[in-house]
Amino acid sequence: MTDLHWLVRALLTLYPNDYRARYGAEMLAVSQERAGRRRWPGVADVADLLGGAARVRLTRVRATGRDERMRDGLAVVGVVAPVALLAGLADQLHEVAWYVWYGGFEGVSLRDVVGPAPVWLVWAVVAGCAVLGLRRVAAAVAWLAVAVMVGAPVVGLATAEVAMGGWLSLGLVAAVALTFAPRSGWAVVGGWRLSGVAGGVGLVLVTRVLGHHWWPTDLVAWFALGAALVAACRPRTAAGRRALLMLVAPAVSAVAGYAAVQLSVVDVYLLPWPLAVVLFQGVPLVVATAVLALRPPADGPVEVNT
Amino acid sequence: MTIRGVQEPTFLILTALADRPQHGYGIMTDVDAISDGRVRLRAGTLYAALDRLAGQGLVAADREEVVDGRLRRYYRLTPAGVATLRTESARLRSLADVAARRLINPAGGTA
Repeated sequence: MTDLHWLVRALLTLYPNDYRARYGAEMLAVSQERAGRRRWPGVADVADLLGGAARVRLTRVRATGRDERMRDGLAVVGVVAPVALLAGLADQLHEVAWYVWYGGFEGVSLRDVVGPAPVWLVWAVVAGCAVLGLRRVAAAVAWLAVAVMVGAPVVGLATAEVAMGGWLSLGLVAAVALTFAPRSGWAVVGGWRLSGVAGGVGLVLVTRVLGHHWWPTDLVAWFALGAALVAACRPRTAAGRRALLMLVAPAVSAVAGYAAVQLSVVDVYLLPWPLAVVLFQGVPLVVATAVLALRPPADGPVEVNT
Repeated sequence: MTIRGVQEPTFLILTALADRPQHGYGIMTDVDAISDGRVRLRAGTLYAALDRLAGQGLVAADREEVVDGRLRRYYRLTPAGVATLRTESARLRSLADVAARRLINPAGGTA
C-alpha cells in the first residue's frame, strides 16, 4: 500500500459508510490517477476530500431535519417529555411533605421550604399547554424553564439534581422538540399512552413522598415511568425509534449523575456548576445529537419532503 | 425535473456527459479541458456532485470496468439530465445574446 493509497483511505473514513461503500473505490482510483507518479496527494486534493466529507454529512443533516419520521419523533417528544419532566418535582415534594408532616415551618423561610419547586411548576404549565395542543405557547414557556434551570445558580436554585440529573437535558430536548415539531404529539402518542406516562409520574411522586428514599420503591417507580415512556414513544414505529433516541441523552445524564453521586466519583458540592453541566448534560446531548443526525435508525431510505 | 441556476461545475459535469458516458477521471480531465483549466474538479467535489445529480435523477451509473486493478464506473446523462442541460444551455445562450447585443454600442464606448 502506497502512502497516497493509505492517506486517501484514511480520509475516506470521514465519509458516511454507505457513501464510502458506493464511491470509495472510485474516489481512491481517481485520486491515484490524478496523482500520477507522486507519492502523496496534493494539499488541495486533501482539502477537497475533507471538504467533500463535510458537505456530504451536512447535506444529510439537512435531509434529516426534513425527514417526516424525524418530525413525528419530535412531535412525540414534544408531548411526552414535558409530562415526564413533572417527575422532577419528586425530591422537592418530599422536602415539602417533610415540613408539613413534622410541622417544621417555624423559623424556616418559604424559600427553603419550596426550594427549586417553582421550576417544575413552570414545567407543569408547559406540560398542560403541550397536552392541550398549544405547541407554540408550550415551546416559549419551555425555553423560559430551560433558561431558569441554566441560570439556577444565579437565582439561587442550584441543586446537584439539576446539574447532574437528566432534568436539564430532558428540558432542553423538550424545548427543542416543541419548537421544531410540525404538529402536536397528542394524536401520534394517543391519550392512553400519555395517561401511562402521567401514571408513571404520579407513581414516582407518591413513592418519593411516602417512601422516604427507600430504594426498592424508588426503583420500581422509576422503572414504571421509564417503561411508560418507552411505550408512549411506540418503539415499533420509525418515528418512535427516533423519539427514543432523542430521550437517550437525558437518560444517560440521569444514570451517570445518579451513579456519580452514589459511587462518590465526584464531590457534587465541590464540582463547579458549569463543569457539571458540560460533563453530565452537554457531553451526552452532543453525542446523541450527532448519532441521531448522522446515523439515524436504519429502517429504510429516508423520505425527504422537498 | 429541472434545477434552476445550475452552478458552473455542475453544468460542466453535465456537459462532459452530454455526448458519451464517462468515468470519474474522464469527467475530471474533460471538465478541465472544456473550461480551459479554470475549473479543476477533485475527487471530493466530483463525487459529491455526482451523488447529488444521481439523487436528482439527472445522471445514472452506466457500466463498470476494472483497469490496472482500479475500479472505473461510467456515468451517463438520464433523459431528465439531457432536458436540464438543454434548458440551462438555452438560458445561458439567451443571456450571452443579450450581453452581446448590448455590447455593440457599449455605454462607456471603446477604450
